[in-house]
Amino acid sequence: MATSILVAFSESVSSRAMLDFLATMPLCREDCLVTLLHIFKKPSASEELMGKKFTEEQPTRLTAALQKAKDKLVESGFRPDHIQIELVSDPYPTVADGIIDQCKKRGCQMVMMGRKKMSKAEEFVMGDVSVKLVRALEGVAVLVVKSK
Amino acid sequence: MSGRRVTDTSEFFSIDFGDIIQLGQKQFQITGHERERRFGLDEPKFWVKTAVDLDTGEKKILKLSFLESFETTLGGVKIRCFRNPQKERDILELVKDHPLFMQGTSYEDEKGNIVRVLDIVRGINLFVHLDSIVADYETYFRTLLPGMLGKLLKAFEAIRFLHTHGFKHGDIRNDHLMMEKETGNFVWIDFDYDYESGENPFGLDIFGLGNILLYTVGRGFHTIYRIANDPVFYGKLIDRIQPSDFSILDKRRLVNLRKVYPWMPVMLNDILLHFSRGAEVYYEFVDEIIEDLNRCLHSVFEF
Repeated sequence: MATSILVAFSESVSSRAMLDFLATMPLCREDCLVTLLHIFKKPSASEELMGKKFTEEQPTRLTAALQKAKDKLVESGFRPDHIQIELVSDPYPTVADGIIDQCKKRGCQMVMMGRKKMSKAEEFVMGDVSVKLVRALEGVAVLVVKSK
Repeated sequence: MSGRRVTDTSEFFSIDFGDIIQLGQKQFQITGHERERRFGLDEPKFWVKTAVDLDTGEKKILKLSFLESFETTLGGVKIRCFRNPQKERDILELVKDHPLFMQGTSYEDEKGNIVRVLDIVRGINLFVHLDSIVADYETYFRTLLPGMLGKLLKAFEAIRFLHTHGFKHGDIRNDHLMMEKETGNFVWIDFDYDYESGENPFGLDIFGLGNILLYTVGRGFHTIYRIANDPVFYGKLIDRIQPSDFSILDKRRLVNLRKVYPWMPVMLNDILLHFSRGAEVYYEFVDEIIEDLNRCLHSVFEF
């Protein structure tokens, strides 16, 4: 039976580290169905300050990044027809809410994400997506790859 | 007392004593400016006016649109903060007739600036209230604190009400919680601050509630400065404290109060420790604090 893996993807360094990890993981690649997912969060006031052009170009830029990520996985042996690219633009309050919702809707068995090093204060103020996933998802493996 | 008739409040610095602000059919005559009295300051807040409603003669506070934006640093984390008059207007509508929130009505001036016309909450804030208590600490803890915590619990429930409707208070401090003279209720005021919060929308509100709880339980903050400079009260506490005993976002503020009062119930101290640098688990939602505090009130104080 195929294993459905949801890969939460962004343009961050930790996300790239996670992708490298997946590409070298000892998996039965033939049996993996991978969804490369990017969640758009409702833009914050400061993101709005980045300007209309920046915001308009985001989907194109992210689609290209997701395609590149797919190519990397195909190179490492994953089947191209088993990799799906998803750019979710429903405005979720937080990225974690988006990943949790998409994971439940898709019935995934595993969620993967990258996580950068955070201080305790950062974790307290900014929140930690990976902790939220572990708390909220039941019967789902959560694999967190911490970047150096 | 006669002044100008003002229909555009954009230039709030120039709106002064005697001027009449006209908002549609409503007229308010300005009687002064509110003042910022924190940190030993006593400066006028020109965007907050005291006024009289010329229809009813009632005293009101008028908050004019001040789109201030700044960056603050808490525990080394940079946070962008801004004033959000729209948010305060929305909350005022949401909490209409709620006894634990300040009340008011919002209007737009001819330029679309949101003016909030607020009822005055009669009473003193938590900061002043705690400062005025003269009993020794143990008497305070045994006799006054249980009742205070019961009221705080209700005030925390009120914040939960905001959060469940998707709003942050934005500026939870001990001087934004008023002890209403007539009812004895703790009433929240001033909701126009907002902040960018990443994955944890209510993080700073939770931190604010933690500070209020710490301030109430400790009857003031125990800072490293006080501990180092008051050996009569603190003895050799300075030799027994660790960085992990202090606040996660303010390294000068002691959170582990059992180091000061070893007899303090562990259950109560443990709630506070969720806000310490030594914590491994943090509160993410107000419900979690409410649940722990409720349990503590029943088992420790038999409230």
